[in-house]
Amino acid sequence: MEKQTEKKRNIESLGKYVVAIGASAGGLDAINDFFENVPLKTNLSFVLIQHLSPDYKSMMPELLAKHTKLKVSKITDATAVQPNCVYTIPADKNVTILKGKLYLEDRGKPKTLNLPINIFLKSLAEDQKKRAIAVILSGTGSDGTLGVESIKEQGGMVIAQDPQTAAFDSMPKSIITTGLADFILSPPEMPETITNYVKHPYVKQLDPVDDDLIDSLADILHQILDFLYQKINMDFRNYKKATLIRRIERRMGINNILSKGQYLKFLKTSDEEATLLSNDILIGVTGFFRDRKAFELLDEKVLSVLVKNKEPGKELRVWVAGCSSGQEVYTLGILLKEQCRKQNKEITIKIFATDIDQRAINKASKGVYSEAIEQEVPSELLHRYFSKAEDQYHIKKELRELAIFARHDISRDPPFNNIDLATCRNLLIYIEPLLQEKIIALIHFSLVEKGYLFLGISESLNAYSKVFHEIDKKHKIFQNQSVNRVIDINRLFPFDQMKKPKKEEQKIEENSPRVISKSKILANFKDALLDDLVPPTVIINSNQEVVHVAGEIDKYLKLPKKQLTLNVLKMVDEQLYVTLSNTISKVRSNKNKTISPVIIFESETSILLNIIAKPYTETISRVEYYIISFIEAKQSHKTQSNSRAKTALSNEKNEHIKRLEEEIKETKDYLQSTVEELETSNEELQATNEELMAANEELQSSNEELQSVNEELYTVNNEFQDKISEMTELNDDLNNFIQSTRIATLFLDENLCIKRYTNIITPLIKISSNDLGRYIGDFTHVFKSFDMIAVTQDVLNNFEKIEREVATNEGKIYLMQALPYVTSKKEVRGVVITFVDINELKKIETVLKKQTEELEINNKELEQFAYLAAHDLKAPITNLKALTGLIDKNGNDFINKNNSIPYGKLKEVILRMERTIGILNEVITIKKNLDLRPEAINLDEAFKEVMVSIEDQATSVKAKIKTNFIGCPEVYFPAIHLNSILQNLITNAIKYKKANVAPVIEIYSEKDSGYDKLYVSDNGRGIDLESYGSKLFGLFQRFHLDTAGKGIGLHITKSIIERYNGYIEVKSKKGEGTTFIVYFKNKNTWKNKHLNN
Amino acid sequence: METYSHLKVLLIEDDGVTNYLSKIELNSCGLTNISVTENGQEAIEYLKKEETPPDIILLDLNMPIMGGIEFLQKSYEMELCIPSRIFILTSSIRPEDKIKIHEFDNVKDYLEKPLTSLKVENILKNF
Repeated sequence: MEKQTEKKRNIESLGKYVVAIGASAGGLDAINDFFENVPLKTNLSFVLIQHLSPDYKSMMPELLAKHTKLKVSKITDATAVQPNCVYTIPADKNVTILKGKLYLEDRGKPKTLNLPINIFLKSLAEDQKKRAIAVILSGTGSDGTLGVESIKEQGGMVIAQDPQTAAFDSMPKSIITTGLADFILSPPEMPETITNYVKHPYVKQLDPVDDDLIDSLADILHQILDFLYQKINMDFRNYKKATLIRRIERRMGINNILSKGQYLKFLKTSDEEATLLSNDILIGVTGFFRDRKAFELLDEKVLSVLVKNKEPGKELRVWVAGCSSGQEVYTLGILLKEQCRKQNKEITIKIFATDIDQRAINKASKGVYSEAIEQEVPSELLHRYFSKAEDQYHIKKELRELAIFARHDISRDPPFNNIDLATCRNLLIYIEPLLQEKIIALIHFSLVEKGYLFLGISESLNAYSKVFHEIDKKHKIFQNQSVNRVIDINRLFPFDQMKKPKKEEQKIEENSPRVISKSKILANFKDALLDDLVPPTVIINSNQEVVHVAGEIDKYLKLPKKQLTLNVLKMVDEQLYVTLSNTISKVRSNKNKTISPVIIFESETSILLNIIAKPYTETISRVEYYIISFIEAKQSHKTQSNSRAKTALSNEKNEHIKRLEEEIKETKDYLQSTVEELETSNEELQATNEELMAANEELQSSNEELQSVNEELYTVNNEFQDKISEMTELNDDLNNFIQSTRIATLFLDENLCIKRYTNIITPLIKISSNDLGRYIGDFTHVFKSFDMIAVTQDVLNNFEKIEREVATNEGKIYLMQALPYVTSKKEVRGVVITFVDINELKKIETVLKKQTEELEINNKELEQFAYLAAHDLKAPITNLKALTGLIDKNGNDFINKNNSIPYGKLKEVILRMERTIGILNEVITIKKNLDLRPEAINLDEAFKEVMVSIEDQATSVKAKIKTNFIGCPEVYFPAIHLNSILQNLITNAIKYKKANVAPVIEIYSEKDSGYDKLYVSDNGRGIDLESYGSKLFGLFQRFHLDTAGKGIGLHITKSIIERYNGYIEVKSKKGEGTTFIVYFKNKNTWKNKHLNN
Repeated sequence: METYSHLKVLLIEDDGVTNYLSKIELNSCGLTNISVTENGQEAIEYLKKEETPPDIILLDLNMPIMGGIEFLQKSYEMELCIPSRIFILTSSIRPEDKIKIHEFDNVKDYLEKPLTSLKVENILKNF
């Protein structure tokens, strides 16, 4: 036994469990929650079946990889299922499994309904049987419901998502309402339940249950079944033990109970367990046109004949025993109606459909089926016999009215009559042979002569094959051959005896025949003896059937002429009938020895008889028997006896009539109450019907709502599709952009875990693509004394950028910038860090700094040099000049005629040198002094000071100078420089006067938007601005040769003014005078500036 | 014309030509008592030895060993010529130099070379 199962395991992928997960709309969240709670080493395999649009490429493996460490891959054809792996369905295929390998197949045409979950679950149930676990998550529709039925049938386990946690609860609800869900959970709870389930010893057991095992469990099993019968009136006591034990063990596995004794206790204390166990046992998988070939043959060989041969006005009666949810019933109805159509015959068809399971009857009676039946029923028939309302098919009235559904226990309730075709498919396989025979007997009883019997593929008739003729051996179609209805008496024991354990029952069986067989010799001996001594006696049972005979009974009893029966009343001579009947009834009621009055029995002679009846109870089995003896009375009292006998006979007759009348009355009363009950039921049904209609209306409106929601969803879906493709593009753009910047960048989330990075950062921080989502603190970086965690945490807390230079251990320098990551909603959700290589920059900086320093030093040296040079030159020049002056004063005589011209020239040269050195000095001094602080200067006073220096010059040309500083009495400027400027401008005005015209100079000031303006206006010869405007303020420019102008003044003036952020303008026309306008920056605007500009 | 021949003059100047020219001018205005030192250091030595400080000191700023400013500081510390009237005679017209000398009370004026009779007359106005 073990070896066999060992082999089995090797073939079928190591016997590991396969978890199929079905999901549709709203399933993503549920799937993610589910996988987040799956541990790494469960050794379970997961196959993920979703409803995917065929033109959409699924990204499920990538999306799911973020939520689990298990290996996720898309299914390719012939993939072997490995433990601890997740397999996802590709978008345009369906998946099946065979011998532990996954196979892909094309979907049907795009317009047809595709139910991938059903398809996969059905094949999974077939392939893995008990090792299949189905999980149904959020989704619309009812995909998965049929598949789950298969799973349960093969002993697998089913989990439905708790509808309250599901975005779309239609799919899980559909499973739950069928009662097929073993567990209803929220997705995070599911993995733990699955792992507990597979660990439970009873679930792990793959070996078929041993016979020995069965016997030793028999006691508890019997108690369990008894309890079930008591509690919910379901009699499973003759179902196959192995099946029952398996179902019980499954329930134990689901409820985590380890011993059967405990389970019995649990069963007794739980409110629902009895029903749940019963439902589990009754799992019946059925469908339309199940075993298509069988139905085809049935149609061809049986149904066509039945319809053809049925006389008009007669009913065609069919009985479907074990009809479950009705699909077979309607299948037969459809086929029969089609036959009627084809043969153009109108006959009344009645199909009686029974089942022990009330729920199944209810469902069948409703006649509503899901879209999945599209795959079972040919579309023409579907169209003709079903009306589609939204997602469901309703049986049309003309088909529905053929069927009558009723709850019926085939092992006990009386069978139907005059049945032309009885079907009992996939019922008997669950039942013990003993009960099987009884059921077949009852069915046979119901059939007419030439009636047909249709069984399931793996079923057989056993003993009853004698009375049936095989129409089709393979598909189990039989025809009744026998005229008589046979009930095998030996097997007909009432099975009502609850208190006795089976052992004793067996003993009973053993007792009656065996007592006879064991003590046969003794019995024969007794018989022989009794034959002569004993009056004719029969022993009858409580059904008035003869069980034993003694003496010469053939005088009084004869075998019946027509149908064979052992009912004593039918066998007894007519004359004795009445009396015997009375006597039996008396002895039954009195339970005492009863003697009948005398009867005249006419055969060859007249005999006077007494019938003596005695009750007898079998001691062991407590079966009641009655011993009836026919004793002849003495002849002497013939005439007396005769008349007595006659009156006795008429009395007897009267009694008999009276008794019969009483029985009729009782029967009438009983009938009345039955009728009343029926009427009440009828009314109830009526009310129920109305309720159903109201419910139907509600469903209708819900359906319409769903329709519009569906349309909205479609639109939204399309929008999302667009958005997704946009985002995908953006994502790609972003990725490329970031990588192309070639800047080492790191994106962290608010927990400082890595979100994204550019590849360039890898030499600086050791991260790779596997590390996304990990905490950055786990990684090393090459920067010295750089606490990345502190810096990033700081940025997160303060929302402020942090920038600093960091150095690697090798001395390379990078500029580190850490910025808060701000979303469009202005939330700070992370940190972005960049490292920019600034080594080159740094080098350049260093070089520049050095150069600048050198330059400054050089500059300073040059300045110093220039200053010294100018200064040191000045002194000798001054002396030269003074000396020549002295010579002039004192020594004109020394200079004779020949030397006067060179001497004059000497003086000229000295003069020029003096001037040049003077200018140089001035320029250098001023350029050095350009960082003096400005101060508030009174223009009037400054003017007066200047005039002191140039008074002589002014009076010598009779210059008139007018001033007006009321408009702006003060300017903000360094005093010394203001002095220079004023002096320069005024002396210029004087110098460049018109020939022979006394210069008139006007100096006035005014304020103007941020500037203080100073005007120096003269009536001099003017400047040709067109020609010379650009050179006016240049260095060493002179325009008029006859004046002693330095030509430097304006340049210096402009330099000074501009140094202090002002500017100078000139307005002039040749021959019409000149006006210089100086703009000094207003004091208020000064205050905000540093001087270092 | 008043004689100013009683006035004592000290020239603190390193350039010989300047001194020659200055002497001529001073003489032409009647000042004859003229001493010459060629730098600040020499001047201090000289003043230490003199009983009375000079009435007029013509001080150059740019001199070797000890310049004009330093002389002023040192002489002030040593109280060598507090009553003297010091006139700076220099070729430098740097404003910062001008500012520095104002710290000393006995510096009366700042003159630019060369010394002219006009300038001497202005000096003498003080007396």
